[in-house]
Amino acid sequence: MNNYENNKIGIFKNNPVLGLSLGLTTALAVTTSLTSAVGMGIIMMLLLYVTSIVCGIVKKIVSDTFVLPVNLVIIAFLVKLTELLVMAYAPIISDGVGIFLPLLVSSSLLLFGAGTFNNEEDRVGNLLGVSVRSGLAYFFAIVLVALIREILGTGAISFVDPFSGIQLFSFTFIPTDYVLNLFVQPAGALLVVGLVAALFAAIGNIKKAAVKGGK
Amino acid sequence: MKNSMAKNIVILLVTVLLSGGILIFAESKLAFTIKNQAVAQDLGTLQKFFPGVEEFSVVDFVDETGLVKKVYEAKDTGYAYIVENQGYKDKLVFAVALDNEGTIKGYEVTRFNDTDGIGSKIKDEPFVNSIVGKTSTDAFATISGATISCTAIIVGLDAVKDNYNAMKGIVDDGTSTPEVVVPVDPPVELGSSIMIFREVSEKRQGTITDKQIEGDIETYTVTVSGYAVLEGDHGEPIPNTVIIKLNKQSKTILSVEVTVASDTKNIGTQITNATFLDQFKDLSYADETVEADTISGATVSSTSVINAILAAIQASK
Repeated sequence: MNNYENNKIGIFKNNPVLGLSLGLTTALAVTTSLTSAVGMGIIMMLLLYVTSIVCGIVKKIVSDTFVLPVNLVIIAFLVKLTELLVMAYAPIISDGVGIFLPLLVSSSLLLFGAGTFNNEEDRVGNLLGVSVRSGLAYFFAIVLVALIREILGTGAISFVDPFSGIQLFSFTFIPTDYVLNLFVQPAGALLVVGLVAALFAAIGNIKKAAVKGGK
Repeated sequence: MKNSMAKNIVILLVTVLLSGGILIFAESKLAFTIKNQAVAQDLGTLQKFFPGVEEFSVVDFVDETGLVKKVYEAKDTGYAYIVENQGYKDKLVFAVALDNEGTIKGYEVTRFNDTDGIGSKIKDEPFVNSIVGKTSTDAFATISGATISCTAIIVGLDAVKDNYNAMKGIVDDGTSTPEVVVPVDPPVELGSSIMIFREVSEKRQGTITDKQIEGDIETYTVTVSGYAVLEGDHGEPIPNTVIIKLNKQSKTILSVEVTVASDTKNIGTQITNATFLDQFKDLSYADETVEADTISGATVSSTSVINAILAAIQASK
């Protein structure tokens, strides 16, 4: 990553999902409910952290030409293991995210977190730092998108315990007659992701301008 | 260089073998828990369908439609299917159970976000009764007014039937005729009472379009502006039409029938409900302080019927 500091991952600036379009498929697919989005957010964060540590270590002993295939094997392994654990202990999340959990094998965000696109000799600590920020930014982005979609699309927001399936809370904001079904459909996902991305970019630019002004 | 290449290949191979080995071990350890979790999610529904059965197992299946999500076997008793299909607003999920003879033992909608009062008819007794008790070769009919939600269920049921028949070697010749399902009107809640004899503005007055006299019995056909006309509810609103039968001699209303109810579906159209109309039967209008109940939530529409009755009474004088 050239000029690393200028391209630093943040929630508003260079958000991996909304700014860099990494992991965008899941952001569109699993954000129909808050429960699925939180579940996928946590899964992605944990996978990013483990991936960055394991791939960071492997990168030290493998030459650059072999980094990509080794990283792909490690990511596929970690994703499959996560899928099995989620199916066994959090079936609500497994049902909610469906095929998009095993599809994380090809997630560009995980490859990014593994340092696959970075030609520089990064230390494991640096990779982990990028992954922590990416994971948090991803989590924040998809939870916000899910909140907007669920409220506008169903009129209510609810959260289910992923382990027991018991509903922890549910609030109704919009009467059923006034909800917009569009927002639970793929077109609504694109619309909300686009709007939230624009909002984040605007906030990121304002913050950047404020920092420049301060200097 | 050669050494480096060999080292990299060895690392890649070790990574692949190690990952594969751990995954095989993890899958063997977690397989039982995963199967149990799948059953646990639907255990309540399964026990409702098959009371007394304690052993349920997940069945591997092939469904070309993609609508059947899970299949369970209740030991020595039958099979239960979890089906998902797109409804009017959202995905509908329902469970259906068949015994080993191919009779449908249970049907339950487990996820529903379609319109209450319309799509919700798929959960009502008439529709449930049109499914439960039928066999895997029977056809099913939709309910008028809830076609999209019903179709989603019926298409899902067809996928279940195909799967079950293929599993059991049953041949469905497709000649079964679906039984017509008659929906039950939702109960009407009567609201505040208003006097039949009162001042009514010109735009709310009924218009007599037909009058028939047989002795003391007079039958009036009256058109009257309801919610659709008064509030511009539709693009081209039409008034409600009410047929009122009066006994001029005894000054009683014999019957009131709404033949055209053009107001908001499932709200204003409640004026056709017997609970509302039966209150007028044999009601004496000799006393001009006589009152009638409106329908709670459909005050404008139900008042229009009372206005039509007033127009008929005034015409008979």
